Amino acid sequence: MSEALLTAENLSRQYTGGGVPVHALRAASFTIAPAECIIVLGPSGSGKSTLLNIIGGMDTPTTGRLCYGGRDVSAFSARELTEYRRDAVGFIFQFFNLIPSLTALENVALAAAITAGAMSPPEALALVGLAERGAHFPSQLSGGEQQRVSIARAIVKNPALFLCDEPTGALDTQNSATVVRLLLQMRDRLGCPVVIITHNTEIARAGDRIFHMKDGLLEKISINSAPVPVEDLQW
Amino acid sequence: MVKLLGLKMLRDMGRSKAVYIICALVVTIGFSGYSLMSIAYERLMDTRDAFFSATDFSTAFADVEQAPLAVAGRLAAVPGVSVAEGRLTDTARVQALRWHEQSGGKREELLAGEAELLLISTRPEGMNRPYLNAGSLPRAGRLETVLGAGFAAAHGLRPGDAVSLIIGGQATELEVCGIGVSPENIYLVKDLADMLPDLSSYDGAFLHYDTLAALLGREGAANSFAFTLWPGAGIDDVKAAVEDILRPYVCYRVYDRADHVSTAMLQAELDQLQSMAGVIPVLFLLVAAVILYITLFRLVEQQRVQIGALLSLGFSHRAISLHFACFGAATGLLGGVAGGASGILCAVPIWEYYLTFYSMPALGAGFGAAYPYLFYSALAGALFCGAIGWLAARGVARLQPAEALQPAAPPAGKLTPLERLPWTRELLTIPGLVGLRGVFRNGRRSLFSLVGIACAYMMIASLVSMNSMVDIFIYDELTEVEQQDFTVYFNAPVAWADARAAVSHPEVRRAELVLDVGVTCKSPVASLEGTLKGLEVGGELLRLADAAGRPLALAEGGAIITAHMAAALELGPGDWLEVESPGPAGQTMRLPVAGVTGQYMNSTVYVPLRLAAEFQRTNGACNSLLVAGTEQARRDVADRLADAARFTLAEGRLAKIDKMNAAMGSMLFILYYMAFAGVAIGFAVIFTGSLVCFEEMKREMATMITLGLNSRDCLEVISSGQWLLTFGGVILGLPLTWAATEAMVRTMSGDMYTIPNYLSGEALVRATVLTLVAVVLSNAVIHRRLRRITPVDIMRERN
Repeated sequence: MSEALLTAENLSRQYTGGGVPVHALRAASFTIAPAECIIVLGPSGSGKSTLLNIIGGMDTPTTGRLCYGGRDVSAFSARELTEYRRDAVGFIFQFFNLIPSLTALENVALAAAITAGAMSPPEALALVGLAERGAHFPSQLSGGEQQRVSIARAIVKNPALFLCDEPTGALDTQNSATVVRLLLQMRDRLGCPVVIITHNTEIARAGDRIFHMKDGLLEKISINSAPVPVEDLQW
Repeated sequence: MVKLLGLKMLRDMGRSKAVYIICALVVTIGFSGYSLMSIAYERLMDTRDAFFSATDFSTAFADVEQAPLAVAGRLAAVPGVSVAEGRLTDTARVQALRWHEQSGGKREELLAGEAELLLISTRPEGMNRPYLNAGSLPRAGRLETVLGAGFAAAHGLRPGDAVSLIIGGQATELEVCGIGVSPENIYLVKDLADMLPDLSSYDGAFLHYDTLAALLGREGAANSFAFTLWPGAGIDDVKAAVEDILRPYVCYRVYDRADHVSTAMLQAELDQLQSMAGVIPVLFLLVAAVILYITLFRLVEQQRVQIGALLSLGFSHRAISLHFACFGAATGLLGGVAGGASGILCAVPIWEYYLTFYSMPALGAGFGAAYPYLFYSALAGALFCGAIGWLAARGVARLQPAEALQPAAPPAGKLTPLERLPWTRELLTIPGLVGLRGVFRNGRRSLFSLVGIACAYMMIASLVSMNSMVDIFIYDELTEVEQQDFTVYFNAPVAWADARAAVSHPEVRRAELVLDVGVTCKSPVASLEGTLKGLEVGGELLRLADAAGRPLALAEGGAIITAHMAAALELGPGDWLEVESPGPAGQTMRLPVAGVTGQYMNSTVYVPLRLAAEFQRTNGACNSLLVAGTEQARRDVADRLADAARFTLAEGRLAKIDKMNAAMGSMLFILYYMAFAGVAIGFAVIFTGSLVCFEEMKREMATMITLGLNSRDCLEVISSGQWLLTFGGVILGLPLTWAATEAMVRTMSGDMYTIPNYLSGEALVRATVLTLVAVVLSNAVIHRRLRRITPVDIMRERN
């Protein structure tokens, strides 16, 4: 395995809701290497999204350390976290989270506008096969198309890290296959790692490593020595 | 980035355009008032200064019984006085008008005793020359006059026409050589009790000094001196020296330009404009802030997930706060620009209205200097509303991205304080209970709605009650205090018996003698120029009453003073008032204040007729008569007295009310317009609150519809909360209304008059009814929306 792009040591996250502390993540340690595909599996409430949010600079760990490119992300100021999200991370959500009042192209252009060295928005849209749908608003697109716009919005930034929170959770099988294929194509094209949260164990067969989570614990990291091509997955 | 977020903003605003338009309109009204009044103020100041300069308006005056003209030279030598000039003034009854054959237009004959002119001597190079609208200045030795523009316009007189006046007891025909106006007759009233000038019956007429002196038989004499002070010098610097010089000639009064009735009334108007320009935008911006905050707070909550997505893309919290601030800024900018522009447009007719009202020529710089107000309004609107947007977005925009991506945690479910009352739950249906809990669960929005409704109620109530102010301030004098049918005026004291004989007529039911004496009234804290009015004890034609309407009876040895005088001198019943006559003997008397009338315009001291006559040492004389009789009696009396030297006017009270109605027409229109604006704003606040509540509770209502409740049942979810907030808003609005009216009357009161806090129960009831109507209308609109709900679509929407 090549040198780690990202290193996590004993990451924990505790929330206090209604006066009761909730341990959403407990002492998770791992590394992520470039161009790696990591699948995070686990039941609801197991801490998958918390882990992804901390990796993506969307949340900060209560304890522990997260290093990216030799810098301690967990010690970043709000401004540094913003720059980290802007320049290093491409996020893809289960419900797409596109801006409904902007067209597909404008949604992509919005991300490009704040990033130095971004790809051209029409090119990003073309990469996900939606070059002709740029002028459509999200409400005029199908779920699969919206998720592809969301992927275009992530790749347009040329991110160092792809983070996907149940990207196929709201899609049918055909669109799910398309989205996973696109994600892996982008990983290959950009050479960046992809972290995918999913409930679908079939998708795990396409990953290089699988993180198994339960009750906030990263119980096991299994290595998939022979990832299956997306075309061979059984949906 | 800016362009795309700007696009997003415009599209988001387009979806709720009604609310943003309402908000922009409220801002528009506020800034329209601000710029209109500020521009009118500046323009009027500019016109006044140019007018004063063009006519060499003197900076001070002195009134004397009679002095040689040469005394002006001695006055000019007083340190602090640069130029002094003697002149003559007198009043003359208009006997007839004669139009030149070629004169066209309106020709209105005058009946005897219907008009009077204030004669003022002038010289071509002297001070206080009339500003000519037409014709030329009067020449020495010629029977010529420059007529006041108001009188000339009212009777269709032009240069070349003639007026016949009774001057010094003799009928004299003067040719109209010009039409003009002087700073001294821009607000010309016979008596301050007249309140509004009526230039058709009383205006200025300017004659060459030599002509007027010859007609009055006072060649080489002056009864008034005008002088200009050194730059930086004030009246107090020269007053003592001037009084010393004029004392041998019976000096009545030395006063500054600022104390001249015309300039004082104009200054009071200017001060009001300036104060209102500061108050009005604050009131309206407060309401706009409430509407905007409620709207944007809800928008930000609705876009919580979008905010999370933007944060995850790498947008900073600051950029997102700024984005939502732009919603406010755009609304404020739109309102500010529209308000500034409409203010500039409306300032022109308002300025023209003031010019007509004050009979001033259109002098001074143009409206070019008004355009910065467009910029000020736009900037202030954008900054203020932008700040509201920033505040509204602050909470959500500061969230961690991961937190923003999750729906907000629902507030803890608990009973509301109202539900602890035993009857509440029995009174309310389940949807009503949901609405009630919604009010308490969304505490901040409810608080803003409450404040908004209270502000709207305050605006409606205080604007509606301005009509009561007009009634108390203007009309009560003519309808409640004065009871005579007409008043006969004399230009010099007339023996009581002669006066009664003058109005003897079968259709005269009652006549009461009046003696008016100009006096200076003093208290330990202040002094005030006023009128000592002697009335017959037991008289019925001038009904004195206190502010609560309780009758006040004249008593020997006591004085009844007007509310304005009481306020200005800080006197009340039981205090002592000192009255000083500027007359030949300069006598003084001290009187206990027996009562205070509900009159806010006049500075009058009412005493028994005999006491006034003794004070003036004109025993057995009066200078006017209040008469109860028919209109025919008035005409007959005026005809009979047409040639009498001391008779000036026989003025009907109803005709005076008619003239007042005509003069007040435009003001009443403005009042009704403002009251309408208040109602519209009240509706805007209530409707915005309902609309936001509708958006918030849509899912709950969709669920209820699915369960089988009809749209009217579901409406209770919104209406119950709205009624509760409206009830609270009205309660909170009561003290706010009192405070607002108090602030307004303090702002509007001046040296010339006091305005009472005119808030009436009737106005409060009307405002309450209008507020409730706004709730009913708002509920009707929401009900229409509710009927269009498709439950399945709404329940499918993600939070």
